[in-house]
Amino acid sequence: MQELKENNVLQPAIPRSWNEETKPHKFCPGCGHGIILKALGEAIDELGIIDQVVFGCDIGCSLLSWDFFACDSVQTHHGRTTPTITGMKRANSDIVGIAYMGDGGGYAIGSQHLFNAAVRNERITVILCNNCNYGMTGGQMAPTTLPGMKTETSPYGRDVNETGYPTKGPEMVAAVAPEGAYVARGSIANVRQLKGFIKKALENQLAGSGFSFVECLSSCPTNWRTNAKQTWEFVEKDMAEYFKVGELRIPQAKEG
Amino acid sequence: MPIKKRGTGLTAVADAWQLADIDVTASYPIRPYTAVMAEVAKRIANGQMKCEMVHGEGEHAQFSIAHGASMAGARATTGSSGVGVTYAFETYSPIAGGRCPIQALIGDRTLDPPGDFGSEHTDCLTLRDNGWIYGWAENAQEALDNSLLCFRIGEDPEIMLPQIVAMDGYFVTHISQDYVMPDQAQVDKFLPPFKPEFRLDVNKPVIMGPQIEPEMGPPLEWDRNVVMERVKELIPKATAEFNKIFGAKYAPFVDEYMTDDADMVFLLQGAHAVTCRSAIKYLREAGYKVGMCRLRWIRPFPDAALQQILPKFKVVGVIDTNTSYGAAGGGGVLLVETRASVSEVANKPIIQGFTSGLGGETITHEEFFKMADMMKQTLDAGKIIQSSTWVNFNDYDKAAIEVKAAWEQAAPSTK
Ligand SMILES: Cc1ncc(C[n+]2csc(CCOP(=O)(O)OP(=O)(O)O)c2C)c(N)n1
Ligand code: SF4
Ligand SMILES: [Mg+2]
Repeated sequence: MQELKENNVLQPAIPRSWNEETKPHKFCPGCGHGIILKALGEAIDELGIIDQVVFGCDIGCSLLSWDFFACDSVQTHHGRTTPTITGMKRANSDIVGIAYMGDGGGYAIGSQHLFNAAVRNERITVILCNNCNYGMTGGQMAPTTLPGMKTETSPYGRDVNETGYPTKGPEMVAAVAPEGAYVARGSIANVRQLKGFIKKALENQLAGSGFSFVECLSSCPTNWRTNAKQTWEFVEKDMAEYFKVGELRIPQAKEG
Repeated sequence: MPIKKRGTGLTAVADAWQLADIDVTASYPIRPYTAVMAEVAKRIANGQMKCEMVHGEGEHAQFSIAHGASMAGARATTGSSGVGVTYAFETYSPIAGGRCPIQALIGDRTLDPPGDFGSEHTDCLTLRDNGWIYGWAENAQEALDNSLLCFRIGEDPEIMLPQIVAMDGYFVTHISQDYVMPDQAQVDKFLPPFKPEFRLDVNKPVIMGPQIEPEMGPPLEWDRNVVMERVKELIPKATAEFNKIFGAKYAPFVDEYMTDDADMVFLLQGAHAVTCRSAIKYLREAGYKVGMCRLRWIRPFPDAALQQILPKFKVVGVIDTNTSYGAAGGGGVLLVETRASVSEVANKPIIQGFTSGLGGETITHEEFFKMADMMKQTLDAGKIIQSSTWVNFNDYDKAAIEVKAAWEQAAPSTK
């Protein structure tokens, strides 16, 4: 849906849950963070929960969304968003706690928090942007960097013999989270599906069923040094080949 | 042959690590430290350096990896900046207490809030009670030289302590500048290979860092205290030897500038010394008899050297590019340490504090002029007027007083 603004500029409808004053957003052109947050915004709109949401963003390019939504927002330390949102949810179970982070934040420095929040089945939603590198710090090799992928610290490509294989986060979370958890991996290459996963994750929290986690395959053209075509090919082909898109854990419908 | 190079404080330290032939390095990205990991990764990939590089999963892991490598007998390095430095906090005392002479490079950076990238000395100064040897480099050359000097002092069998090569983020870590990379033969002459007496060795099993009885702790702590005193003795010797081999002119503890006839001096550490020297030239022309004392080490603190040097002056203005909220005297760490160093000296000068250069700001010429003006007022008064001043916040220099008076005239207080 598009609407005509006063100055006759055609602008796509933006989610009601967005804080319009802070748009255009601060991400680089072609960055996937904005697409993920649009899917999240629409899911929040459809559920009509913006008054309940507390949005927490990690340090990483995700922090550029500290004023992205029209709701209570908090920026935490690098890797520490999951426990911070856990604390808020435990203090006030009426809120919908969303922890938004990057792959470095979630799988490197904050991996123990992601792991343990999943094990405890915390009633929170973690949304993680996987862009195969530490974006904000200038594109170093991250746990998710693909085999052979060049980064600032793997100048001739990631050598799996030296540094292992990329972390599969949803698979790890799915392996340890108790019954009631929701775990999926979506991609900015399929926004409709991604939004569906995020919506289910939020519903899981609303139902008090358990932990919910959605990894989103995303883009970082700035550090990948790719043009539009290469960027999209990398997300759609290379990333999706290694990181399989789909739902990994869906809570069983409660009986009665 | 030594090579003339153009680079930054971080490429200079990468040069030092290459020359020192480090065995293991552990990294985790954070600016401004990050640039050194990219540099080392490139050199390893090009075959220029042979060393294990571990991409840690955070700073706590980084420092622990370097700790482990050192226990296994490796010359190991790591480093960080800002909140990365404090995230690893738990590891500092065990590494020093375990007498593992690893080397960390810290390109300093403000702590959160506000999540600023700018230089500030607070991150690294929070480590001062943990038993590491360290001081700030003023430029790329000194960063390289301090790295070599630190390995030499820290790995001395009588010392065995970890070291930090600290430098101002961006000013030293990123501004391109000329420096000389010494020759391998010079380095080999100065820095012997790392051959620790006690290290994990399957043929000669040892136990490291075990849980010990409470009463066994204090003797170990006493030993750590004693060894720091030994570092104070070794610094002048090692510096003299360094100067001889590399043709350098480092003062062992305090770098003095225009102090011969000075009645007041700025006392500081790190890169702001560059602007300070330049400001002093103008101040001298304007009739201020001012000089500068730059600290080369913060741990061990050069108290004995200051006891010798400071009584020559009437007023000392200590510039703290760090915060220590609630500290004695209301300034930062250097003010407390400087005052404590000379507290028992009979003819000690008047020591006042300035907090400046926070958040990565340059301390400008104008700010040095203001400080000189305030120090001059102290000198004329013959006593402290204000224990510590946050420059641009509660100044009492002539211009600030005039501005304040003008404001009051324009909008008289309603009280
Ligand atoms: C304790 C700590 N270590 C390191 C950093 C530096 N840092 C800031 S952003 C970032 C990388 C973020 O990468 P990622 O989480 O993948 O998010 P992206 O920017 O790629 O979206 C790092 C390492 C920090 N802020 N705090
Ligand atoms: S650096 Fe990468 S992740 Fe960060 S805003 Fe730019 S494109 Fe996005
Ligand atoms: Mg990332």
